[in-house]
Amino acid sequence: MIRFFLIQNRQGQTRLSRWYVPYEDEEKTKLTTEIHKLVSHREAKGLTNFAEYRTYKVIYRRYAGLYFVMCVDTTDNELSILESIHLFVEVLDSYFKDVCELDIVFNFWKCYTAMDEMFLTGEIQETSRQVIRARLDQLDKLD
Amino acid sequence: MSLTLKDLIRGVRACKTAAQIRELIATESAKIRTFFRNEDTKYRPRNVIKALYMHMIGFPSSFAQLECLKLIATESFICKKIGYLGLSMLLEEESDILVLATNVMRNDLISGNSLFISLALTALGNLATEDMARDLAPEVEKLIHHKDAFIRKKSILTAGRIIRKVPDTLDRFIGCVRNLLTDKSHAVVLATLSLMKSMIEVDPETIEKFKKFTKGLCKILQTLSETAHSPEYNVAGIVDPYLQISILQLLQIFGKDDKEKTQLMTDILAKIANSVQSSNVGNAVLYETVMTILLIESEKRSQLMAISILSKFLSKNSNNLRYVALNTLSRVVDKVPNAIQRQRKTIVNCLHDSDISIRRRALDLVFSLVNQKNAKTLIKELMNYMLESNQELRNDLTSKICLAIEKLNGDKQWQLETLIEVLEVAGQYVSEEIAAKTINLIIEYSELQSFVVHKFFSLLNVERDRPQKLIQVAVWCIGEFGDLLTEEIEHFEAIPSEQVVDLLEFLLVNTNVEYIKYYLITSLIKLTTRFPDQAPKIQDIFSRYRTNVDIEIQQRSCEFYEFFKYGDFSISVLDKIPPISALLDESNETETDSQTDSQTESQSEVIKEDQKSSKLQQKKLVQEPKKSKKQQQKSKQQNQNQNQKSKNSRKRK
Repeated sequence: MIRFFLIQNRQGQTRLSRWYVPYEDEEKTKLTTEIHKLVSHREAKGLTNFAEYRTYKVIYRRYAGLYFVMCVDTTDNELSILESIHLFVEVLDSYFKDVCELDIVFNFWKCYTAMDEMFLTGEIQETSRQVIRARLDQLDKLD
Repeated sequence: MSLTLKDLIRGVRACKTAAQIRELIATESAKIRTFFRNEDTKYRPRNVIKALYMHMIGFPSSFAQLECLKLIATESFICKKIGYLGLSMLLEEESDILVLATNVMRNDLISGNSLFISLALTALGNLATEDMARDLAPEVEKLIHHKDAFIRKKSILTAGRIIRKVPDTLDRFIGCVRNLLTDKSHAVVLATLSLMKSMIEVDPETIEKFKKFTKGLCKILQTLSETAHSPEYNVAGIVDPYLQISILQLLQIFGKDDKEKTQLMTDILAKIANSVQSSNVGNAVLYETVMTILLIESEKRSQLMAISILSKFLSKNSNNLRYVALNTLSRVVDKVPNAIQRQRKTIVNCLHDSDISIRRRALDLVFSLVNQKNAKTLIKELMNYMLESNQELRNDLTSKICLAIEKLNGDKQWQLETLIEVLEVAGQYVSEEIAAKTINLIIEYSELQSFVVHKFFSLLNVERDRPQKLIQVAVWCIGEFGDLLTEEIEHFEAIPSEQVVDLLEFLLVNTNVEYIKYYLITSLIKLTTRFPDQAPKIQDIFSRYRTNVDIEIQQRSCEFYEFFKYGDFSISVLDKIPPISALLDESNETETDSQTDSQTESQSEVIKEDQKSSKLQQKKLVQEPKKSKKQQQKSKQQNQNQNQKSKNSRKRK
């Protein structure tokens, strides 16, 4: 199960965050700082995309200037989580046509819709890119 | 007029300093609050979104919480959407607003409008508290059979959260699992699998109830792996890998310790393992398949196949694959040790990986592979590795090597020789505990003491500038078993007693390390009983050290100097330390005759003499409460000898 999903830029600013288990605001700030430190340090050294973190596992991947980070249970399949991050990026990429950090900044609330169509309660909800895309287009027409 | 979201974000981005941003946000949030106070509805969604943006960049925006509630209570989709997003971003679990939101959510759930239902389910799934979960469980249950697959999948996942929050709602949902598993929508099946996992997590007894689905799940896997093309769910040539992985994870649970269920899965697992092509997703599926094969009661053939797939992962040029392979191997090393032994070479190669997390994992694995048969080669490999590894790893590595050597008590000579070698090449990394354990082994292996003491003596004699821990152990041995040095053994000549004392005196004068000096002084006093002819020389050394600046050295020298007044160096405090097994024997026996008393007394004195080894003995007592019968008998005998000795010495006194 995904504990939380964070999207941060290289400076450690949070661009999107979803907390699937309740944390208090103070704890969230602490976690985001720690995660950024951990991930950017590992990324610079070219280590694996997995790291043990507290009693969980952190799975991350960097796309251009953004880190997509998921904190999951230790029994979760690392490779599959990494692929689901990739799928999410593909969804954003096709939705925004070559997504970049600014797209996410200006349209963060749309990104949350995309995220909530793909993940729910910390589980993967929909695995078909086409289905998610079609759903997002349908929802967009209602705005 | 208020800024649009776009203008606000642009404004923030145009700011050059943090102070400017603070000022901009302060003005804007003041404006937003005025809008809120005036109950403006036209710009409410826009203002809430702006507040959410401020929240994201770290400014307080709790003032928008109530507005979110107002938004979800409207009948407009876009307003509800923003309102629910706001709730999920701004609220902490204890917030009172969530209590108020529950009722609105209930209305949305029963509204019959699929868009509203979706929004409410998403919010509930992501932020349901215990109270909300309890209150809304009946509504969610009704939605599980909704005609729209979107609603079905969301309500099933939400049910998972409800069960995790309120375990006694499990009964409400468990009945629908059977039908849902045959749903046409992939996403609904996937959600159902997640729901089952939540149920198992909350109540492990449900595993037995779910085991009847094993066949059905295998069939789904079969269909997925046979479907040549499914445009919607195809990822790099694999049909819905996420669904496959999720099924495999459940099969793992069902097949564990269950031969019958394992048999049902064997064929399909083998098929996937053989047919899935190696790609990013392919490897994710392969990895889960391998894990399943290894965790259930598979036959040897399947296990070997699984291990060989992992071995392929290990030789791939991908850190991630090597990492998961090593992780899996460590998880199952106790279950399939032989199959993993075959891949030893590949695993040992990973010790030289550029990624430290991989090296660490490989190292752990190599240590768990060490056994009597391969010990000599593997330990040698590890010793070489230690010499080339970096400082950071060395401490850890040394202790692990020593512990491994200590465990492998098949060949005692090899064991001691290797420990001495470790002390020689990596003495600076050896911990106090390991030094103590080495001494302990030497005491136990009485038949090898002669060899050990000769070996140490020759090491120090050739080169006196050795690692501290080597000197420490060597000095202790020379003091304890110095008499054995005067006898000739294979490969080693007899050493004249004078030379032994000279060596210790040389070290005493030349070492700068205080604690080694303490060892040296204690060893010297012990040598007075081993070599009575050297007593005057030793007495002379003590007389010089009685005025040493180091208080400990001074005290030891003064006290030991006093010993010479007795003129009889067979006093029992200087006797050899009996093997630990003897002490164990002592503590096990409840007899309290006077002989035993005097024995313990004299022993406790001996222990005081050498604090280090006493620590070790206490540890030992806790760690290894049992010794083989043979050893016990042997130690009993030694005990009796000791008793006799101490009795005699007392009489003489």
